[in-house]
Amino acid sequence: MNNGYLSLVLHAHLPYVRHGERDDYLEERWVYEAMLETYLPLLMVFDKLLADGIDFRMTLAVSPTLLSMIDDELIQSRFQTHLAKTVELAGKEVKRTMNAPRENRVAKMYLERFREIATYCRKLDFQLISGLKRAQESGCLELITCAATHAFLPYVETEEAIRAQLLAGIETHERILGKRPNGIWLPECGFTPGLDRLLKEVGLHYFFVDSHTISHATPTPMRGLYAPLQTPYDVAAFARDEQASRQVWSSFDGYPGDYDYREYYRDIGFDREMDYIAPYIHPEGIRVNTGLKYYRITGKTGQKDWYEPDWAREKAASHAGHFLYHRERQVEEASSWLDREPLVVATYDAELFGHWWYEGPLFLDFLLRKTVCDSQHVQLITPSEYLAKYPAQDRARLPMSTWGRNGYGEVWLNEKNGWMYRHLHQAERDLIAAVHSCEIAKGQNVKKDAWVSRCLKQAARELMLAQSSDWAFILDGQTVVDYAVRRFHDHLVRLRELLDMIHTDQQNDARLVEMEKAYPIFPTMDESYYLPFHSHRVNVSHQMVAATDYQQAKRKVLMLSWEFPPHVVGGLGRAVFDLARELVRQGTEVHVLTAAAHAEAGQEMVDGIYVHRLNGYAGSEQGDFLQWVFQLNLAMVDKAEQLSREGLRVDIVHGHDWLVSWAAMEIKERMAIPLITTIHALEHGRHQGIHTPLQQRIHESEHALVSVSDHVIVCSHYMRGEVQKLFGVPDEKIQVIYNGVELPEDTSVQEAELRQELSLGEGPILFFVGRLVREKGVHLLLEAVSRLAWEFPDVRVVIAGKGPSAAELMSLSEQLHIVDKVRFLGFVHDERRNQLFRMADVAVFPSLYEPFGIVALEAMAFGTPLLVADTGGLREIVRHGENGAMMYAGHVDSLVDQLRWLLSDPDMRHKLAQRAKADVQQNYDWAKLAAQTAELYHQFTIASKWTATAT
Amino acid sequence: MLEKILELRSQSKSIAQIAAECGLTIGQVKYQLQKERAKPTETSAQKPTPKESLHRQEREWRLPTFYGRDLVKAMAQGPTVLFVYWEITWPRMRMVASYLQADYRHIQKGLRIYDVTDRIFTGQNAHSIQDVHVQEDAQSWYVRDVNPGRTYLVDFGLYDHGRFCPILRSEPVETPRNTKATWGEPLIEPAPEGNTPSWFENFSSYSLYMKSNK
Repeated sequence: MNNGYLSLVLHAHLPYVRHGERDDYLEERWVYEAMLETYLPLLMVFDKLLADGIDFRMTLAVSPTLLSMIDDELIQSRFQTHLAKTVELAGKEVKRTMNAPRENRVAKMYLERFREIATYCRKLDFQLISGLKRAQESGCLELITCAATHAFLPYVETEEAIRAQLLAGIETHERILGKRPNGIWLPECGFTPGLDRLLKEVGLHYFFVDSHTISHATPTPMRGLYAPLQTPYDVAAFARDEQASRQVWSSFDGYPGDYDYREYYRDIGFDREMDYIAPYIHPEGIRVNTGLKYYRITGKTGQKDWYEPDWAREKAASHAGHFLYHRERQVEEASSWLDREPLVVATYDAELFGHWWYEGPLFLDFLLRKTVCDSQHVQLITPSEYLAKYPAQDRARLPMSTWGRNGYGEVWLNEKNGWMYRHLHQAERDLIAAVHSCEIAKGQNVKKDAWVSRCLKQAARELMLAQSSDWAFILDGQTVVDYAVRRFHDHLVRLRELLDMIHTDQQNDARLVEMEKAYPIFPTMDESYYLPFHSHRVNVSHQMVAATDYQQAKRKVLMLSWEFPPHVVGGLGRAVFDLARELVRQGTEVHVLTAAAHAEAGQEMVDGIYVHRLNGYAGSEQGDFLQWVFQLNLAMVDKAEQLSREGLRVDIVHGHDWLVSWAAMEIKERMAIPLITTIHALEHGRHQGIHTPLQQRIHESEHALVSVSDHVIVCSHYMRGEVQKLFGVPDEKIQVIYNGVELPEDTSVQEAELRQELSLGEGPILFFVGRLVREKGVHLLLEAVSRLAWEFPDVRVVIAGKGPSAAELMSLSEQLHIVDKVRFLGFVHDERRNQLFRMADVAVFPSLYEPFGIVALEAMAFGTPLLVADTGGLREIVRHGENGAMMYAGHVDSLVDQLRWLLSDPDMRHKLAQRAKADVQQNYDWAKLAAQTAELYHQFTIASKWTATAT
Repeated sequence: MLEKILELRSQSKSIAQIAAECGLTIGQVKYQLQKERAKPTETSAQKPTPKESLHRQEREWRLPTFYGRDLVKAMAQGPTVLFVYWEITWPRMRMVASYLQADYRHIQKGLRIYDVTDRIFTGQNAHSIQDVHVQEDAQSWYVRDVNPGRTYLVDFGLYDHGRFCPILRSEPVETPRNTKATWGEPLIEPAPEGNTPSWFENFSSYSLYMKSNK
């Protein structure tokens, strides 16, 4: 009767330690020792079982680095020498121990054993691969893969680099073993959320994790550890059984520590006289393990007895029985509550068997035989077979985890090796960027393309070799630190050298060949593993080429503005938008960087303008305005940097007001491009002086910005005077370019309805729109209306806009007893605003300070009769008695006079308005103003190109 | 015992002499020595061969200390520990210094760790915030008291009159949970087809990196 299944999984891995140039690298011995003591003995066990007709099941993961080494002719021939020497040494030992029977018995055992292995090797022609393939073909052994160089995947930065590790691994596996792997041994059982998506993408169906990964899955798995789970991407995760692991692994009470087993730490490489052992150790006399060890573990002390092969053999048999007994109890227990046949997965490092635990292969032989022949309860199975039997699993999310110390990443990330990741991550990004840009540049020169491709392939090899988790592991254990650090360092330095060769177009062929020879791993490496947008790479690259070609001719401007429609507080955002739109129409490429504010961060295209809405890292505007502004500036610099990395070459940066000053100055310096600044308003003017520390900071910001800028644009002659007076800007560095106004489309107004809605009666309407701050002079308007109340009883005032003075103004209208004549509308949308302009009989802007006065222009464009204060930019727009009326700034009497004049003479109002409309069309057309701005860009890009070539 | 053996060994005594002095057999001394050699300690572990040391001196360290890229990276070492490394370039320091009107080097630096689990972070809506002061010249830090099974973002920043001013932000990172899931967690639906991640992922795609700053 069968209760359940046992899956035995071994993971074989060694880092790539082939050193073609020298044959005395101690680290290369790792391969020979593991071949002699583990891989060949395991193959021989499989062979024997097959010969005896035992239909066992076993899963073996072979890392692509190891696979590449045992497939390597140089390694094979060096191993042949190693084996011959070992046989020779064993022969000498037999002679040496002639007179000591207990020792002699052990020596003979080794000689016999090594000869047996040598015979087996000759049969295979030293091709371990063919042994593996034969076992695989029998159907008893499932071979699976691993990440290409055993990179610790949770700490790889980019999905491109993870994908490359997976694809190169699979490709190597298939190329050498002739069959695509179905599953993967994740290096160190290192899993992290999202890895499953990539496993699925490359066609791997299962992987292994430690038991806590499954028990901490979300939701908690109903079948516990006795069945695999499926991740959201439908890849199966098998849990390593804890009890089975402990029985073998535990350094405290695991089988390998049994007193009858061979003692690992008494090798004749260290024990014999130097004269005698010298030919079998490192040529410089460094003592190393030879594999000949005469003692058994004996006990916990240093006192060791001779090894007794028969005792050890008996122990291996009894341990195999013990192991099987416990698996049987496990499946028996689990099958009592599980809705299917339970599965126990026992996973180990392959090198434990034979190398550390000499009797390990023997134990496996006993275990496999016993299970197949004797067990009533447990049947062997491979993960693939189990999944075929039970295709559907519970689905869950798995946490990041490993089988390392304490279950997570601390072995590969701690004070000893954490420094490595900065370099690895940068190397990943550099390689991906290089592969990407070379892909785009392809197709000009076939010979060069081929050379670049070779460089990239080698760079990919170097990156992968540097990514081996072995280096971090060695640093953690502090064993062969020098070697690990050197390897890590050298691979990354080579990668940088290769990428440099590509960038600088130095086709140093000798150097490239040297590198290819030094690390000839992954001969079929494909650099396109690292392409972003993997699945659509062809289309994307072609589009990008087309796009760059087309854009070459255009001038590109990076515009910085803290606000941009739809989120607009003042006139600045509107003006930037209108200017940018017109520049685009006239053939300039415009990228606007602005605050995301209430809109979503991201990139969009608005009327042909590239708009990048950005979020700063800190708080909102309400918290600390200055800090918010600075954060926005940091975000702008980062975005500019990112756009430049993506290949955008900007010719000019154009900043608007002090709010972007840090970014504007930084971008100018970093990209070495001219900076043009438009000053829309000044802090000094806004407050009629500088009174607070914050105002002082802003004032200084303005000063710095204006000084650093290559050219300053102001929107009126008035502002030009102000900027020059405050900051001493020379005449040739400053220029007036008016703000324009879009001529509104003629739409019919439901005037009657609007009057009714706002209960305005039939009388004349005065209209103000703008921020309710003292500098706008709304209080003057209210006072004037109160004085004219007797003369013009029907007059109504409509005030649109909000601001700090709103409450004050409302109470003022109460004091003046004109509440019934005044309508405070608060913020109004564009559509309503336009309606009000059209309906109004006079638009009144009694400002104390007004750098430009775009609202006045809007009124003119709408054909609304206009009354403004004689200040700032308004003075330049309005000519009294020609296209509008003007009052003395700050004078109520004057305002009253002018209102009286306009209200009593409708014909005059009409005449002024008609003239005003014509003026706008002539002087404030965005097309004209944008052309002036573009001309300025042109001058400066020419100038900067000239400087660049001159220096 | 081992220490004594090592001490005697360092006086170039033979194994027989050491054994006699310590009252051990020769085999016991050898066992102790071999086991010690295999142990991961710096002092006695496989010393580099003379040739190797020479080799090393000849070749200088050629990996750059800095890469000229503003970057904060957070990695989960385990359920309660984040490893954060960063690089702040000179131009950024210059900008920050100009904003704070102070010498960059002398400003207290720190990390702010936001718990943003299951949230689209707006800057204000973290579940919790934790501040860590870091040393002046530090380039990485272990943050040791975070919670398992949470998603974190890390800001590197400076203290301006005691108030934190962030200047660079990491991508989010998820710490693993180290306990069983609570009862009643919803079942997991299969992820939809396609290349876009539908769950939180602990690594970034270079393309994502390039195209958006989520």
